[in-house]
Amino acid sequence: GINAEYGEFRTMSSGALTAEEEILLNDFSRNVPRSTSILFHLNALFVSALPMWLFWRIQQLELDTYGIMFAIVTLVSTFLMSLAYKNVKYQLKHRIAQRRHAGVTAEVMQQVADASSDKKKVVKKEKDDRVLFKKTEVADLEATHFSIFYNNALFLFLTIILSFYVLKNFTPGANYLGSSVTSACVVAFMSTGSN
Amino acid sequence: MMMLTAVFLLVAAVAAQENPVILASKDFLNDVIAQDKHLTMHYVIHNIGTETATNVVVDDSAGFPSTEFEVVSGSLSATFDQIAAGTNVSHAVVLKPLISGMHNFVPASVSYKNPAGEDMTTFSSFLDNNPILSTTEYNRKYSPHMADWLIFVGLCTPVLLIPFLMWHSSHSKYEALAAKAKKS
Repeated sequence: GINAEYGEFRTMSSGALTAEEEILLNDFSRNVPRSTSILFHLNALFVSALPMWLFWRIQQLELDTYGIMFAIVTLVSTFLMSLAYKNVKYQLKHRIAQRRHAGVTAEVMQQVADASSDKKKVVKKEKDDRVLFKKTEVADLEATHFSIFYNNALFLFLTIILSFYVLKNFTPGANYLGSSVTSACVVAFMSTGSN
Repeated sequence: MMMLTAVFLLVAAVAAQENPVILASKDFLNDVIAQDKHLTMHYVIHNIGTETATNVVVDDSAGFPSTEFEVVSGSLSATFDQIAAGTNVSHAVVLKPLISGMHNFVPASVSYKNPAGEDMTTFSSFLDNNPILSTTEYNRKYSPHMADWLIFVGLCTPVLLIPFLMWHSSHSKYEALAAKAKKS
């Protein structure tokens, strides 16, 4: 059956959801499984903390003086990055699923052919269900990984450009605040784009 | 009366030119002055007069108190037995500022004797107030931070490379499967 981590859904019709209905519902939901949510938060926390290294070592901001600012900015940035991961993943999942149809179908057909050699006949409906499930799984994974990569790259690029070029004449504290928060806001804002 | 005044002035001018005339310049050889970084001071003493200056002493101790500057190499005072007319000599000293902030680099004093044995004193050029950067400011602006940047790149690698490779691995696999299925 479907992984319970995708959450519970109520159906209008009586009885439990079919596998197809659950997949479709999940497809159109922005909810992410708990494991993915934890992955997003941990990634967001790590990447949001990276500018601290630059400002501590290169801009010479002292940890004991700016510790509270570091903590607050990192938390704000973590929240915005997690939001960005979720949004970009949601947007990419559908496009990737469409692209993967042919490849996943080929893989499932190969598996079915291997299963048929064991004299187990697989009906068409089951094949279609397998393709749909596999396609969703692959699209989910690829969208998750690409979302993390894309948002991390954009955040780090913006932070470096803002802190070492745009805001370089600001005081180091203002520079850190401006560059980190602005980068996270821009990344989160761009993730809400509908394309 | 006017003729007499003119004669007196002419005699005075001639008398002045028969003395050594010392001009001294004082300059930094550094582009940046920073705390705990070497600062090289350069002095050039010119004798633009017509007589030799003797017992020339350049002394810049007043400008660099020992509580604020450490002498790394050379000396803040130098003595030259004589500087012939139309020649110059130079002197350098390497210091290490122990303080940071704006510092008034006062002129060095130059004393010498003319051929008559009279003591003369002059001062070098004035360098005005100049900032001495603190260690933190200097490191922020001028230190290359190569090791720090390398560590930063190392820290960025897992958050960029791992998700990219995982996406690319799946992407390549299914693109290849799709291409194969399309051919057949």
